[in-house]
This record gives sequence, structure tokens and C-alpha cells, in this order.
Amino acid sequence: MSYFEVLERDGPGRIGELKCDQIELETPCLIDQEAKVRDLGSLWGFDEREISSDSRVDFNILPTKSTPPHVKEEVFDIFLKESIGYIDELKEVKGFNIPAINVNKSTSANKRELNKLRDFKAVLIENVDNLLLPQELIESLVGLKEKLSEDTAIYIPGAATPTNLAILVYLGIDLFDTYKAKYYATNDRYFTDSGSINLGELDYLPCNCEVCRDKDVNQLLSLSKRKRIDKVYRHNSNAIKREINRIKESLKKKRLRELVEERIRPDPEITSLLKYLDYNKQSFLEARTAVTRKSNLYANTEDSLNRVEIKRFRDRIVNRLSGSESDYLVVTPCSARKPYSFSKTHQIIEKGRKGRGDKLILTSPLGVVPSQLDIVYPAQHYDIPVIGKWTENEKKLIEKTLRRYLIQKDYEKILIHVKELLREITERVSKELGLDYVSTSKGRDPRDQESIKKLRRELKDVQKRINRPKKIFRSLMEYQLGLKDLNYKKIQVKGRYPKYRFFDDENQIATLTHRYGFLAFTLEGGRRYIPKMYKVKIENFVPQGSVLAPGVIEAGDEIRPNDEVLFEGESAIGVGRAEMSSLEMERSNRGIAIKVRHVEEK
Amino acid sequence: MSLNQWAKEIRRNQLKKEKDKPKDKPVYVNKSKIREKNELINCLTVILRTKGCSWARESGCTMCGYIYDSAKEVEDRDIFNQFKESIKKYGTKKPFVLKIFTSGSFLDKKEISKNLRDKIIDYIKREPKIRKLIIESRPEFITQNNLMDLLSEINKLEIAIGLETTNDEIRKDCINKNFTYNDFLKAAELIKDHNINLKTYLLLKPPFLTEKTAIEDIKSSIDDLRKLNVDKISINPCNIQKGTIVEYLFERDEYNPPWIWSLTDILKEYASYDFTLVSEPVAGGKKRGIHNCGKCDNEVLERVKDFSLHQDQTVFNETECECKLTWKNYVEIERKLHNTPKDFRRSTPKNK
Repeated sequence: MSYFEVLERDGPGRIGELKCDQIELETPCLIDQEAKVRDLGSLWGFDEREISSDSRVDFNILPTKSTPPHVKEEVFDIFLKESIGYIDELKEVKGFNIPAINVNKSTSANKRELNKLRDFKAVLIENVDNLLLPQELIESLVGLKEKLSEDTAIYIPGAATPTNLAILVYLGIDLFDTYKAKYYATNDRYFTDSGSINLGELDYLPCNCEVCRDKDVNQLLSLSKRKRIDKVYRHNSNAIKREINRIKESLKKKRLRELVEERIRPDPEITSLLKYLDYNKQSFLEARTAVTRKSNLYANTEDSLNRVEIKRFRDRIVNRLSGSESDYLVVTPCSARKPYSFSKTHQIIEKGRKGRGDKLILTSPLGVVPSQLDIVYPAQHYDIPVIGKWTENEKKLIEKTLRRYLIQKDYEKILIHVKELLREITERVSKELGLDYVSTSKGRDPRDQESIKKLRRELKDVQKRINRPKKIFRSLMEYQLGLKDLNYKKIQVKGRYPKYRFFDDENQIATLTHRYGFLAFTLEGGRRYIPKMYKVKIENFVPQGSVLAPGVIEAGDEIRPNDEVLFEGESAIGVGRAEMSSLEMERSNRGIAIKVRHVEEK
Repeated sequence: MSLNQWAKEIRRNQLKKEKDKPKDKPVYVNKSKIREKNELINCLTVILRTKGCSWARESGCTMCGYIYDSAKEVEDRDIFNQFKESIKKYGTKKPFVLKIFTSGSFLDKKEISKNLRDKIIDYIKREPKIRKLIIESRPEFITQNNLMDLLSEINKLEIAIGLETTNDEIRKDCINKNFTYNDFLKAAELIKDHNINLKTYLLLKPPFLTEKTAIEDIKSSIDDLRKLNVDKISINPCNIQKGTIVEYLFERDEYNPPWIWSLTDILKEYASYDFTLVSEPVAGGKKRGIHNCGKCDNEVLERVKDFSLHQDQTVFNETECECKLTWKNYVEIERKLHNTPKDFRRSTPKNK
């Protein structure tokens, strides 16, 4: 039996297992190094009778009529159709077959023929290295990815270099090889961490692999061409192997995006791939990105401002969070210590606020963080390089998000308790929206005694303190599940912040997982509160431990990895944590879809 | 849009840019030596400027830009003058072989009318130094009538057909040649029936094929032709001609001309059979023609020339260059890359 199963995900990137009768590979990997691959070559001049079944072959690459990407599209399509059409005639070829699909400058992803490829466990994509422009490459790859099944391994041959591997894996590519390493070695091009360089231009060997150790450039150059190609090829292969391990490690630690942002820097062409992806393929990324991650989120570059997690946070607090708890809003600065409420600054500010009025924190790259959500991912988990000044982009982003946020809510008065620049922004936005405002720390540090006094004075008419635990519950229900107008008056909260447990009529309904700031539901809580977009319809069985993807009939649109979901079938109902996004649950035939927490037979 | 229409579109665009060509001048006249039945003999090649190949005027082959040498308004009188002047100017005192090409088909009446053909044949008949006439034609013009007309006048004749490959799929998909192997076989049979010599051109590396497939295609084509009693096989390495699909791809780094090593590999393997195997590369050693690293090109092309004249494979014995290794790797991994390696340099960069 052969299959491809995704085991770990981080955004569209994944670690998987590719299995055929004789071999089992952990992806992403270099398929030519770990298995015996036979390329059946071109369909032009192809003679089927010459194919013998070779028991040592693990994978057959099926023959194609390949044309380069700039061939007139109609001509290109004719050959593509013929290549795919021929797959049926190759049923005789035994073993694990990988069909090759050709892509060109305009996406060929809408071709009906592609459906034929859905049954294959792995598909090779041709021409990728010939696509020069980011839109060509991203459009065709993403187009194909969306067309193919999630449990199809994608193989891009002849492309892997140390600089492009990270972003290719991030795009959801699983299989690579060392052919480009060889082709570069043949041209005396030596892979470095930041690209490749002509051996003749190199002064020092920036590597310590078995080939380069204790050698210098001249020793390599004085070798015969045959030996030199061999050595440089081995070095180049080592460089990609090292990169693959680095990527897998990051993926497992859910830090792939950070690695990608780091690895693309040396090459503007590769950097533009990520930019194009972020700007134009946000929905592709969003549909595959987990709602929480194990690791911290480092927004070290301007590209980070466009990350899914960050955009998603901004969108949810604007669109999902409902009305205000108080008529007053205290606007406060952010702190390095997270969650903010634990920071020194906020403890000082609390002396003036004393739990009265809603509190909002201004920050980058999230824009604004309502204080009751300061433990939710990624508010508690991000860090940015701080130099004491905001960049133009950050300023714009804060202003824009603040405006979007305030329009949705109905505050009567804004108490602006931040430093100069942010104060100006907040005053401008408040004025623009016709809101009454007062600056409580104008010309002073927000932690200054005078500032605190002023804040306390401004709030003197406000008697009612916010019930923070209940407010956290309500906001989380809105933020996490998209619920609105929830009646939470009778909710009881037990435990000490942040280890809250929530009860409804004496029944425990949820726990606050302080690590991600998400609610984990009991069966009762799930049954009562989880809405349709987080529900999964399953087949007629009682799952033990996990619900596998083939058992899923239908999954709510909004489900992303790590979301809390309610699953229900004819014979069972339960709650658990999603391991996949809804899209993958519905399209996959393998893998764990939901890790079950509580299940009950019907 | 089929390949056919694409070729047409490129042709139309290029024709708009082309200036009028002089009607009274042939495209090309040149003296050389060629091998005829174990002896070397002088050869005069004349390429007449006609209205152009009928197929090229309709659509055309992916690699052929000879149509741009044609002259729209040229008349029989002009063409006959081109012919006569060439013979007068270049005709040697010694006997010679005359090649009359048109960059199309000599037997196509749209290019060379019956009347003009008769006049040319008549002239040749009365010129005793001309030992043999070699003409080119597409198979559809090689008919019983046409051959009888020629034969009644000329006793030594060779007809060359640009078959390009014996593989119909490649000829259709990669070359857009618009005739089949079967069409060729019929024409070949007629030619042999009339005891005319048959020369066949094969195209080394049409677009879309990898270097490896291209070499294999030539080899299997020669294997097929061996069975047919072909007198001469000439391998034409593909070169970049303006206003062609090949040029369009070349400009986008999506077509690389073949290596000279590929050619020598084929010539060596088929050196000792009972047909003459030749190759006269156009633009050899240049970026737009068959080439190696640049250092060894002239030397190796010289050997190819030697081989074509003497059919002696030992001429290749001492041809070696560092770039042969690059070629070997290229042939081995090009398909595996599944893309057109754009910066595959044939030369080795200079060491420090």
C-alpha cells in the first residue's frame, strides 16, 4: 500500500510520510538521495515496450511532452492535455508512479485534466525553476496546490538551493532533489547560505562539511574538473541537506515562518516571492494557518506585519468583538512583559484606573489589544525589535486599526494615557470620530504620579468596576468562536487568573488554557456554545482518541489547526482540538483531523 | 492556437519588419568540396531567391527562417538571371557538382515554374562540366511526372529531402513540418525507382526536446533510414534563425542549441555503414548555432568537416576538452531537472 500522510503542519508547510511498498520517507526530503527514482523521460520518442519493471526502482516519473513556460498558452495546453491523457495508458508501469504536470507563466490550475491527478500520492511539477517572476511562480504553484488533494506530496525537481528551500516548503512543497546542486557543481558554482558563488570568486570556504573541512579554495580549484565537480556537488548536496534539517526543525517547533523570513533575505527574487504571497494569497495562507502556535511570534521585519496571525488578530478584534463594557475607554501603552497586565507599567496604571473603564493597549504589529485579551495568541506571544521610535508603517497601522476598532464600539469618552506620538494619533482618531477625549498623561510619562492622579480624577464618576473574569470569558467566546450577544450574566468563574474555570448552572463548560489564552470546552460547554462554523459532522462511529480525516463528512468553514471543535455523528458527540483546517479535513483521506478530549456515545 | 497558427503569427510579425530583397541577386553562392563516391570533387552551391517555400508562406517550420530571404515580386526572368550569373561567375574549369537550392522546393511550381525549370535544366544539360545536380524538395512535389521531366534531361541527379526525423510525433509537435514519414517513404521509393540518389536531412535538436532525446531521435532515425538504401544522410544541427519559434524560445532562455559533442557522438557511432554520413553545421561555434565551450569549437568542427569529407571516424580520436564532462552531465541531468537550465555555462570559468 502506498500513501502520503501529513504529520505536522505549520501554515501550508508540512512534515509528512511518503510510503510505498519498499520505502518510507519523511518529507520534506531529497528524493534522489533517499530513494531510487527512475525518470521515464520524454513522451517524444518514448517507447512503452522498453519499460521493464525494475524491482529496485522506488518511484517512476511518468513521461511527458514538456515545453518551456513561455510557449504560447494554447500550444502549451495541447501538450499538457496529451501528457495527462497518456497517464491512463501507462497503467502497466508497476510501482509508485509520479505523474509530472507542467506549469507555465499563466496558471494552468483551472484545467479540468488536473482532476485526474487527484488519485496520485505524489505529483511532480515541471518548469518551476524557469518561472522568473514571483507572480508566475506563486500563481501557478498556489493554483495547483488548491486544485490537488492535501494528501498529495508535491515534488519540485531541479530547483532546491539553500536559499529557496524554506519558502518552497512554506508553500507546501514536499519533495526535492540534488539535481540543481549537481548542475551548479558542473558550472563550478558553490552553494553558500546566502546563494551560490563561482568557485573562482571565492576567497574562503564558508563551510565545514566533510568536503570543505581543512581545505582552501585553491585546493578545490587545482583538482581536475572531474574531481572538482564531484567535490562541489557533494558540498552543494550537504548544503541542501543541512537546510532541509533546519527547515524540519523549525517546522516541528512551529517556527517555519520565522525561518522563511530569515532565509529569503539574501535574494531579492526570493524575497519578492514572500511579499507576493502575503499580499495576494492571504486566503491560501489563512486557510492553512493555525490559530495558536507553540512558539513565540517574532515580528522582526516589515514582512511580519502581513503575517496571517497578525492580520487575523486585527480582523477578529474589529469584526468579532462586540460592544463595550463601559462608556469609558482607557488607552494605554504596551510593555515588553507579556501579558501586559503582569507588567510594571500596567500595575502602575492600574493604581489610577482601579479596574474602571475598558482598557486598550496600543502596539505594533497588532495595532490595538483590548486588555481582557492580553493572554490570547498572539498578544501574549509576540515580540518586535524596539528602538524607542515607531516606523511610519507602524504608525499608520496603529492609527488604522484604532479607527477600525473605535468605529465598531460605542464609547462616550476616551482617556488617552499614552506618550506623545501615540497620544497625537489617538486624539486625531477620536476627534475624527466625534468622540469626547481627554489626555491624562500629556507631556508626561504615563507612569508619572501626576499622570496617574489625573487618570484617577477623570474616572472619579465611574463607580462600577469591570468584572474582569466575565469580560475575559465574553471576549474569548467572541474572539475564538465568533459568538455575538452572548448572555453571560449567570456564568460563574472559579480559580485564580489566568487559570480560570467557567461554569454555567453548576456545570463546568470551559477552562482557560493560559498558554494560548484559548478556551478549552467540556462536552457540555461545546454542546451549548460551539457554533456551526466550528462543528464537524462525522461518520457513524464512536471515535477513541482521535477522529481521522476519512471519518469527516463536513467541517465548519472557520476551523483551523488548534481550534476547539464540536464533532457529531449518528452515534457519538464530543469535543476536541482540530489538527487540520476544515479544508484539509474535507479533502484528506489520511491523518488525524481532531484530537478528542471528551466523547459520549449517543 | 495550434503550433501551426503560432508559427504563422510569428512569421507574419517578422515579415512586416523585413525589407524588400534584391530580385536579381541569389541568396547565396559558394564554392566548396564535397565527397562523391569515394572522391572529393568541387561543388558550387547556389541558393536562388524565389517567392519562398510554399509551406513557409502558409505557416512554416519551427526552426526555419529562410522565408525572409525570399522576394515577393521576383519573376522567372529574375531567377534565371540569378542562376546564369552565378554559374558564369563561379563555375570552375574543373568538373563540379552543382547544388541548386531555393530554401524551399525546387520541384514546387509556385517557386520554380515549369517553364523556368525547363530553362535551367536545358542550361545545365549543355554545360558538360556539371557532373551532377543536387536539388531539394518536400516530398509532396516528388511525383512521377516531375521526376520523368528531370530524368529525360539530366543523367546524374540527387534529390535531398528534409525529413528531419523518422518520428512523426516529433516532426509534427516540435518541427511543424506538415508531412509524414509515410509521405517521405513514398517519395523515397519513387526516387529510388528512377535510380536517383537520395539524400536525407535530419534535424539535431528541434525545440522542446532535451539534448538526450534529441541524440536518441537522430540515432533511431538513422537506424530506420539504414533499412531504406538511402545514399546520404546529412545531420543539420538546429540553429537560431530570425523570426522563428526557435528564436522566440532562445530569446527567453528556453531553447539551447545542441552541443558539438552530441554531433560527434552520433557521427562516431554511425561512421562505418554503407551510406555517406555528413554534417555541415550552420553558425557552428556561435552562440546561435551548435557549439561547445568556445575553446574547442573550431578544432572539433574542423574534425566534423574532415569526417564529412573522408568518412573516417579516427578523426575524432584525439578530440578532448574539459567541457566534454560538462556536456555529459548536461545530457544526464537535463530531463531530471524538468526545466530548461538557463545558466548552464558550457565553458569553465577562469581560475584565479
